[in-house]
Amino acid sequence: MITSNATLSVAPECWKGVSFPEMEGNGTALPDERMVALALGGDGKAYAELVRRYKKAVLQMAGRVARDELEVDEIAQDVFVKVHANLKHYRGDAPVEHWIMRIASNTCRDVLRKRKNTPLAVAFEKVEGALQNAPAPEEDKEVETLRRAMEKLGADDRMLLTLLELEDKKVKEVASILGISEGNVKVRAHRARKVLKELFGKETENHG
Amino acid sequence: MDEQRFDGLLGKLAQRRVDTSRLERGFETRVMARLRAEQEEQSSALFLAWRLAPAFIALFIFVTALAQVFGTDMEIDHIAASPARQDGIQLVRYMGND
Repeated sequence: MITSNATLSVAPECWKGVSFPEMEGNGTALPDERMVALALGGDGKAYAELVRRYKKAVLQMAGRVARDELEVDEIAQDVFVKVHANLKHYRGDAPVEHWIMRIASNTCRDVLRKRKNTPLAVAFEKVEGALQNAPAPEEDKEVETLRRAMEKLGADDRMLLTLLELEDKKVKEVASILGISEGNVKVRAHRARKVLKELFGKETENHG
Repeated sequence: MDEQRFDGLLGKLAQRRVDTSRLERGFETRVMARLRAEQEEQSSALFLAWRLAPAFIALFIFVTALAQVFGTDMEIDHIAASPARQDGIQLVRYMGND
């Protein structure tokens, strides 16, 4: 069994032999960029600390697209495995948080795209055990309808609106996370909202 | 539906957050264990390939030696044997250039 104190030996050549005296303590006060450098140097503690810092945000985002608790955990783990595999590609042109959230967003989008090919019977079976905070009371019926409409949005639009409207990120942050311009975020968000409204209207008609 | 009402609904949907507190417990440990497991899997595959390399080399030498000993001198002209080539020759003949 591996504990969080385990050290991974994945150091690229350039970081070998470089010591970081500030990591003698628990390293929790270090900035993210430093943690990335330490993790690249093969420091498992530093990577575990990065995971600790962003696990909540990633789990929350995974929870927006997953259909059960197991899937939330699986998606979030996939995200951090990808982050680890791509540490050497982090260029520092965006905050580490945005970079991690971009990987999370791309992973969630891929999950949504794959799900489109899931046969209906399987999808329905999965919905039975879905993550629901509480059974929707009468006044929340519209919110439930909106959630269903959201599920019918395209993967890209859904991720954009999830970040912007549900995770309450600023346009600038969303632009940085998705790697597109702020203007593009605004245009796409406007279109996505329009589509969502139409889907919401259809869902309302279908489900009374 | 007006924008304000739609925004209100989106706001309510945003408040419906999944409770991830149970998943957060020991999450780092699970991620680190998975990374370690994937690394071990990769290194064991490499190790296996390294261990099997001499066997593959020996097999290659054996097959090459067999081909040298029992090989025939007969060579097949693949171009001449190809039906397309035959068709081309027939076409040239038909056109009267032969």
